[in-house]
Amino acid sequence: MKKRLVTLFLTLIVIVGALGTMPTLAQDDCDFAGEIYVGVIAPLTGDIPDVGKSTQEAAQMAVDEINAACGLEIDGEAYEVVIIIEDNESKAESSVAVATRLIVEEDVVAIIGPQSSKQAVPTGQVANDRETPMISPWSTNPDTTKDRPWVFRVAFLDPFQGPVVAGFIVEEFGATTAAVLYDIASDYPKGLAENFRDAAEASGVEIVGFESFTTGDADFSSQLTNIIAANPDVIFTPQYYNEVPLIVQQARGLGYEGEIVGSDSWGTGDLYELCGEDCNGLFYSTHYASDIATEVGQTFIGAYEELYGAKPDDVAALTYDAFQLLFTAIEEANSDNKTDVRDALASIELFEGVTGIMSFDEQGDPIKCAVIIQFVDGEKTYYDSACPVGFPPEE
Amino acid sequence: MNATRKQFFIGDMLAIGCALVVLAAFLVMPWFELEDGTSVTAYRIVTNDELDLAAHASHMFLIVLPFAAVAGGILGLLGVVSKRYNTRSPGLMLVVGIIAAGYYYGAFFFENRESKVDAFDFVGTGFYVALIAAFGFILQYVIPRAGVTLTPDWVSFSLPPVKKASHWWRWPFALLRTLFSWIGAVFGWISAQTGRWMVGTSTLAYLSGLVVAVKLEQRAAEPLAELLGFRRGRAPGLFGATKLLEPFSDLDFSGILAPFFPASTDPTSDPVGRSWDALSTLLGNFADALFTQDPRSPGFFDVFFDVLVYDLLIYIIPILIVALLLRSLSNRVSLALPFWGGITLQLVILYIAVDTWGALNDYRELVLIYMGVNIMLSVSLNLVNGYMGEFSVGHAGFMAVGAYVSSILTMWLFVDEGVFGDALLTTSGFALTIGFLIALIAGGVAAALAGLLVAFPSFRTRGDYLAIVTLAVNFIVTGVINNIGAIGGARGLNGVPLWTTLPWIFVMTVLSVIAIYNLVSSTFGKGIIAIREDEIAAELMGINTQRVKLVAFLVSSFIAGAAGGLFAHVLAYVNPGVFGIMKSTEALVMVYLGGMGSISGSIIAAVIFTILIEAFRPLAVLKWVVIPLILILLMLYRPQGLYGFREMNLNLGGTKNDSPEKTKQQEEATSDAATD
Amino acid sequence: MDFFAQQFFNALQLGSLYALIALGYTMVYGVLLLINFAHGDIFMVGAFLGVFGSITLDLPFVPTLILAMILTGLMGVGIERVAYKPLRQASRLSAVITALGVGLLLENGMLALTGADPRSYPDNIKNLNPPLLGDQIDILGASISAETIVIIVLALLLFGGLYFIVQRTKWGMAMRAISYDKFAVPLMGVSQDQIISMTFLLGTGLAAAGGILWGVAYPILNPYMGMRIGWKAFIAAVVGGIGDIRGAAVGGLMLGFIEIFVPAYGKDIGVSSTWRDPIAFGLLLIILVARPTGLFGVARRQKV
Repeated sequence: MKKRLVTLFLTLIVIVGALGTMPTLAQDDCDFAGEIYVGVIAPLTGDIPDVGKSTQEAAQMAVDEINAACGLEIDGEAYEVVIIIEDNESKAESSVAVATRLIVEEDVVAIIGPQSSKQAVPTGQVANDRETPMISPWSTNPDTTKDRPWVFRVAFLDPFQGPVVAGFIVEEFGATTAAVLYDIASDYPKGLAENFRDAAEASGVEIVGFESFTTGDADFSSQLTNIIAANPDVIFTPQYYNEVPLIVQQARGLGYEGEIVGSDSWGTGDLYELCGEDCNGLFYSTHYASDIATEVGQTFIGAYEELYGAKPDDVAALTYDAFQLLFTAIEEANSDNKTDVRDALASIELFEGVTGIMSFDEQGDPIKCAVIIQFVDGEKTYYDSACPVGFPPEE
Repeated sequence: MNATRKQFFIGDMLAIGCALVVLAAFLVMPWFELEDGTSVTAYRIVTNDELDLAAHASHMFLIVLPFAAVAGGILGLLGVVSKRYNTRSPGLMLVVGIIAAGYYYGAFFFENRESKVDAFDFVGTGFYVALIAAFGFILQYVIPRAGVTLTPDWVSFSLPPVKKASHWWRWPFALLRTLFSWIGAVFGWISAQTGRWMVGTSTLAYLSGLVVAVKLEQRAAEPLAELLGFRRGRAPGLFGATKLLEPFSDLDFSGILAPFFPASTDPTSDPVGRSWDALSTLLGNFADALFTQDPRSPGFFDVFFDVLVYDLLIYIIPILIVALLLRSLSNRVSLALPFWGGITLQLVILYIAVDTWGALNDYRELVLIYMGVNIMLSVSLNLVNGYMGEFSVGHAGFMAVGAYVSSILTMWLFVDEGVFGDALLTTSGFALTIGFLIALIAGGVAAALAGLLVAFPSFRTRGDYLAIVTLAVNFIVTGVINNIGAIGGARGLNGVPLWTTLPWIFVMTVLSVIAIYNLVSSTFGKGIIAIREDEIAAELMGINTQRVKLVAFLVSSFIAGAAGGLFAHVLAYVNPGVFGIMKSTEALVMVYLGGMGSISGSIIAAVIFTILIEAFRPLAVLKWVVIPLILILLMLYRPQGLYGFREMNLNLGGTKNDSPEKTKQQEEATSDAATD
Repeated sequence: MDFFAQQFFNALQLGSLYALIALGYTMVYGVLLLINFAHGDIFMVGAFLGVFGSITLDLPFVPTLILAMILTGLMGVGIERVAYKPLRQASRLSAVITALGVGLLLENGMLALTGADPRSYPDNIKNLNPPLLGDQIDILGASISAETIVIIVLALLLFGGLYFIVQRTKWGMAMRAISYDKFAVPLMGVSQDQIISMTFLLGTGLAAAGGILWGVAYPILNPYMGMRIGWKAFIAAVVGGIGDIRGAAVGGLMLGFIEIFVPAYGKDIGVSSTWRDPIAFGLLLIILVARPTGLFGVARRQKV
């Protein structure tokens, strides 16, 4: 009996010893002086796993690219960028926990994410309190960055996008009546729906229907029947890939012939693939158009397609931009000190990203243009653009 | 085994050997020179980078030193507690400890002051253990021999036989079962052996051990982490569990079935082949994750032994040793104090331990706060689901009411430039504390009022029908909040003050647990249990079932509401989406994991669940595959949960007779009585 | 377009889908007294198997439906054997919590194994073109798509078939008998295991049918789709009186009608569609308070 015990331990020791002597992996080509840690918070599980996937892919790509080019240069030395991707399960409390962990246990220089405002708002508080720069690529709720000098974002805000869409439907369709269908239990659609309503009413469009449903619903026929009975010129639905195809399909099935327009959330996931013919010709406002993208954009799109076999969606583009902003800031600050990085981020002007040229206002929100996209035979085609007054400044 | 055997044992030799190594190292160390020309007189951690091991094999000495000190300390302590070994080895360790301390303070006084931490780093762990050994050695003579004369009683160990397979295709399963039974046998042996050694130790002693362990971690964590090669020399969070799972974070399972379920409407070409490729890549990555030695992303086994060493040195061994040393003292203290006095003392010690553990960084504190909220949730839900036997599935609804009401109150009264404009009251300090307390109570009261929505139907509706009522209340609460624009609706309420701190959550959790404990052990509470067993019989016995149900629902939802209030004030943000059906499900899982009708079960389950949720984060998508699997397996093998309908056997009051011989005799007496 | 008729058919479609899923809940509950919380996720697996049948195997609608029903049914039997059967003697709630765990395992396992992309059905399934019906039909001034009709008719057929099996066949009799007294039935020479397996086969097969029909009506599938729908179907089953087939049908239809008609007519009395959820669940709550065992449920006799 004792013998067996001894044998067991001896075997264990031999195994451990053998493991200990295994050769280590090959070293990188670059001569890195150190590492810069960046935290990424993404919704890999929960309501919108697709968004998490895009975030993860874009983040991985951005970091692999920079490391292939021998990382970031600080004081003439190369530093490798290491990302730590954490899942927030689309839950606010998880997001707060992982942000805290990334900051205090992993010593990250900055946090990229979270994507949804539901998580970005409380997480922004954490980052701000612990003086760590945070860039949320996708959050549109003004509260995320409001009075938080350490928090930035890449997406434009609801109060900007609402009027853009409202202006577009008046100019393009000469609309006099409009209806809105949105998810009441979700932060982004609700905020945008209300901003659109206010802007449309201000420009003389009558809102004949303001209908809502709840996250996870798939049947919108009742609300759509209500809307169609009021016969609006345009239906505005700031929803995600989970709902838009169903809304469009059901609206057509109920005999609606008018226009349906959307917002930047339409650019997430492969909405057209899910929607098919029904979505052909529809318009939405968003951050960038792949067909008129700048050189930066084209390179990104090409590389992304080659790597993952699909066109990048808006989340991927915004996340990639967030990383480029951070890299620019670190190199400009010539330091991985968090305060220096924050200051450098705040002072970035006319940054040329995949999603267009942007500067930051004092709240850390980007000043950038919106574009109107039309689905033409499955391609997201540039149609028009709308910029804030006086932006970008003339050369 | 004879306790006074004067004979050299191999353990003695080892202890003495280790002690000699430590001594020699301390004496010789100042003479070593490092690569960069500095000497090691500063006694700091010597890392692999500085010390080219291949070139300077002799410098291995410096790396071996702390381990030798630790090993010597452990062996010495074993000598103290067991008296199996000759007492010379603990004596030797005392000398080592004194010399180590001398060097440490010598370095502190005679070198520059900055080197204090470095000096401490170097001898860190070994020094501590040596000191503990010395302490134990003194104790042996200071404290009368009552509790410490333990003859080590070795539990015999045997590996279970290899499981046989009836068919050839079953052999992998047989192999797995054999492997598991072996692992089980080893763990079983370890716990049985520890049980033999630790017999008669009271909770007070363990708690004191915990305090020592966390204090030890506070000082020695970083040097030890550096030594073990953890990233950036950081103490591993959550007992190293996060580190342990990190190697698996990059595994991608999605390729296995994805080819059969194409995302586009065109079929994938050659789905079987692709799936097979994905599977083989996955297996390769899995093997990598297990065995890689890359220092930047070490594999599972690489990390496993590091983490094991860390946990053993920082937590397990110090706790056991201190508990053992304090066994007789703590038993006397426990017995001398009145019941509630003892409880208070233990809570104070627990708080010290928790506070020290949480003080190491904010993340730990946050985890502790979540833990407190979860304990409040599961204990309060257990009152309705476990003790009263109803099936409430909408507990998060009450939490939402409490969270919103208390946040609105604190923001309205105390927050400037918030959603509700400027603060109504300009107070500070103590008044704020009272204000927060009142807000929490108001949240609880509001939640209790919402609880009436469930309580009244419960007079007529029972079982699964009542479950739907609770579910509906959850949906109604979040639905209504979504519709009230003034408090943010779906956009949530931002700017809630960050007031929930560790003392708050600790006190509230303890109060809730005591409240529920007193309720269920009162005569009134027996009525709650009677309703679970048989409502009609309960009524016949003269129990006013409606009143009992009302009180149970009110108390349960009150505590859930207060928990919600605390939760809101740690997130600094509330959103109806937070309190959805998923949150209710988590509360349910905790209750049934811990076992119905068991307060200690609910507490343990909440603690385990919170740690699991945090520790499994590196698994990303797989996290919520593994957690349900654990739940299912636990339910299959332990359908009643961890502690179904019984409380954990905590030795809160102390043991009169902690001498193992006597306890064993008592055990035998009782078992004899049982067989008669 | 007739507003009422249109809403009526909208409600009929949604209601029959809810009813179909509630039916599976009720069947399992009727025999085992087990709330199978995994049902919603089995429904999701059924819908995903529809993708497998229609795209990967390129099958038309009916074979896809049958294939998915069979595969899902077998999976249901397997789940029962592995996860629920060992708990038959244990406390009822242990099995319920296990079911909750199985549900979580299915949805997150699906996410882990197939990735995050949402799935959709090909056009030949999404746009059913049954013989004798056009693409779009006008009935009573309502514009109804062919799928709606197919869904309602198929749901009715499945109800009828199930009702026939439970009420008119020996298997059905055995099921009812086990539900009545699970100790006496094995003594009569009826294998309890077989009957329970059969129940799971039927119940989960129905869930798969529900999943595919759901996918036809609302063609966006993701691993989490089952969770919320499952809870709703559970509510429908209980409100109808859990354990009763007619109850599930009526409960499902009722839930559908409430969800459609509250937004449709709520604004006439000054309630906007944003209040749909509180009102719908408030109504169900009132029904349960008024009839504590649901609409068709009979209070189980208490032995005193």
